[in-house]
Amino acid sequence: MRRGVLFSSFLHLAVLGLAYFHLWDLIFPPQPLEDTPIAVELINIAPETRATRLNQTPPKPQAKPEDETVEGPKDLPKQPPKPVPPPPAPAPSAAPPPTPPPPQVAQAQPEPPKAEPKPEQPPPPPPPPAPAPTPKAPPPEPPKPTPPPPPPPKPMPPPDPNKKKQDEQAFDALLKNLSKRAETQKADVPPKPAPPQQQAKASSQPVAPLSPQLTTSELDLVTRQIEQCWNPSAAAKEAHDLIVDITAEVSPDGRVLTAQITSTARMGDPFYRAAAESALRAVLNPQCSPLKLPPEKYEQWKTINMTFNPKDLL
Amino acid sequence: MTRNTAVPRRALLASVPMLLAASVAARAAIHLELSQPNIVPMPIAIPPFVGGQPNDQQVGRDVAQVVSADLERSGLFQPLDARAFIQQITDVQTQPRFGDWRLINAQALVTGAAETQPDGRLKVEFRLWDVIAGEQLTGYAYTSTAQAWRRLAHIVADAIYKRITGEEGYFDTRIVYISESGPAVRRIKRLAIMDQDGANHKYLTDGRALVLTPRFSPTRQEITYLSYASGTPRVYLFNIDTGQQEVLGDFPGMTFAPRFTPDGNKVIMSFATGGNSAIYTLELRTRQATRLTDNTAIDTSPCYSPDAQQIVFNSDRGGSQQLYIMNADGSNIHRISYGTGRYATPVWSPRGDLIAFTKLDESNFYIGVMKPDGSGERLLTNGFLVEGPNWAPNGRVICYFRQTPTGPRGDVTRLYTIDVSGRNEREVITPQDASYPAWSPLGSP
Repeated sequence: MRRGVLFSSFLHLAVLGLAYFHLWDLIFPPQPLEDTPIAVELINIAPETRATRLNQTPPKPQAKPEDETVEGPKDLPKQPPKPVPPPPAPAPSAAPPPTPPPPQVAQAQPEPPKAEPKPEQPPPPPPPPAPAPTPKAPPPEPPKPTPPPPPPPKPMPPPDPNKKKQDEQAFDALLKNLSKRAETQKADVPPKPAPPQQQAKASSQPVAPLSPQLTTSELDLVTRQIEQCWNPSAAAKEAHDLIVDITAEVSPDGRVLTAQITSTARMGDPFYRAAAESALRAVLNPQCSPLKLPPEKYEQWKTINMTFNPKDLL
Repeated sequence: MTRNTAVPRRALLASVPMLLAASVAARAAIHLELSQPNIVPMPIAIPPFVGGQPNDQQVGRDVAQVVSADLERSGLFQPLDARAFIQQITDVQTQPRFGDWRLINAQALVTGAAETQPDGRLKVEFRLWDVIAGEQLTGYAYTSTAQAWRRLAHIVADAIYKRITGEEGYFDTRIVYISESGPAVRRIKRLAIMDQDGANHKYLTDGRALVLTPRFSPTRQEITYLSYASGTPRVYLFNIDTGQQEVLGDFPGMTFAPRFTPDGNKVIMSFATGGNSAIYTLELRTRQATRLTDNTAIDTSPCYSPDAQQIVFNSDRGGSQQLYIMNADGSNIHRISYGTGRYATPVWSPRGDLIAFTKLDESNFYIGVMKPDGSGERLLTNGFLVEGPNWAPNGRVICYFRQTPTGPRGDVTRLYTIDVSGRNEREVITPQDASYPAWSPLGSP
């Protein structure tokens, strides 16, 4: 009898306990009401692309310890230094010297770009073919492509995503080097024959071929650049209707060779003509030249169609 | 090179896909959408106009200086410092060295010459060059009396302005306004007129009678305005050429707020009687008056649309002072202003797209614009007292007056102009205090 009471009490307690303390969950764990949140990191396209390429190259990442936060390319326009944030495609195995070479080089030299008129995927020619020690006269700068002395070569840094950012500078240096290299190659070798060979070489590199598509950031950069020189007459009547289309042919060094207004139907309207001419001046303005576009993607941007739409103007 | 021959096949194979890809890429082109212009004054170089004789050289310098000042004042141009010029312009007929002008960042270049003709008249010619595109945009020659050199310069500036902006200029114009002087209790107000840049200033009335709100005729050298000459305020007509003035209409009371119709044949105004004010038009030739509004409210400040189909005015018929639009025959009255505060003195832009107004909101005065349907209200400027907006003939610039309290001695009242974009607010220099400016049509001598 007493036993029965005890047993019964125990059972009751057990049931109450289960109910009160959610012990049932121990037996059948509850399904989460919602999916567990997934951390998402938003990054600019450009840095991302850049990082990818960077990784494939063996360059030493820690050329500059300074941590620069990744900036969108938009902030760059003012800086003379490498205007082109974009990823250089191929990385030359040669480690880029960390030297802080003046960025202007890229812009300043009109010639280098010509080197590879039709690089398809593996744009930048790999260093190997280059006669390493080339005396190249033109490059006044110290950034000799040759052996970067100081580098504590870290061979395996690439995969680490965190480091991507800090490499910007190193990367730029690398870019510069590349262009220099290209230049030197040019100087030495007749340009025409060179390209195919280089490309073949490039493809043989370990670097995975990357799409030559321009990234949004790269497009934004050049858009901002041209907008800087676009000065339509403010408050023209019905300014929002004055949409102008211009097609420009661009040389490999980013200079506009020809620019044409393609929306000519309304050129009889003095307002439209004024708007169209102001757009044309923006494209041709030497102050906004050369265009900040990645030389290795020249094939993509040798023709540029532009639509000038002052819709935000009043 | 040797490698080339060593691995021809591999190179060939490797190049095949690339050539394919390249051919695809060759057709590719990127497309950029630009929507954020960088609005800054256009750098323009205006060297002194070349003069044939020593005398002409001074004229050439003066003309170039007036052209330069006009363009600069518009806020759309930035004349460059002559000391930076590399090329010395000595001949208008030859093409300038564009490279020299690009170097100093000029985007446009004006070359010109001033030459006294054998008959004593002055010939001014100019060419406008697009420095960046390296081509001539326009070029004209004008001849007039030597005394009119200023006007020739304004005409040149108008031609340049029009070619670059697409809009008519407004430099060859005049401004009529009320010149004020004396203490507040015995204020002397006179009709005065000057070029839009303040030159050639002169008074039209002697100040014995109080005058207000002058308006230029769009077609004749006439001004309509309000005067207390007869004791009660009446609308008058003033002929600039003859100096004659006359009362308009035979109204048994106070008439005010006059304005011409776009064809210049009628004057629209308010007529007040018995605490009520209604809008009338008066045919100038026949002096026939027509009543347009019939309401117990105060309707005033009427102004025609440039196509003369509609009239904007302000009225307190809804309880507070607001802007209304009606058809030219007085039908279809509807309110267009719905912002906070009170609205007054609406003026329809000569190009029809905007209506300028004065707004009083929480004891602050504003000059603003809105579209004729009441949308898109923008306030351009404000102050202790800003009032009397009026349009330049191209509908691009608004002039108005601003009163600034300076202390116990009184206020300072001056004329200002502002671009319809709200940029480039400038004072128009006048000899004394000034109010109620009104712009002449373009080409008013």
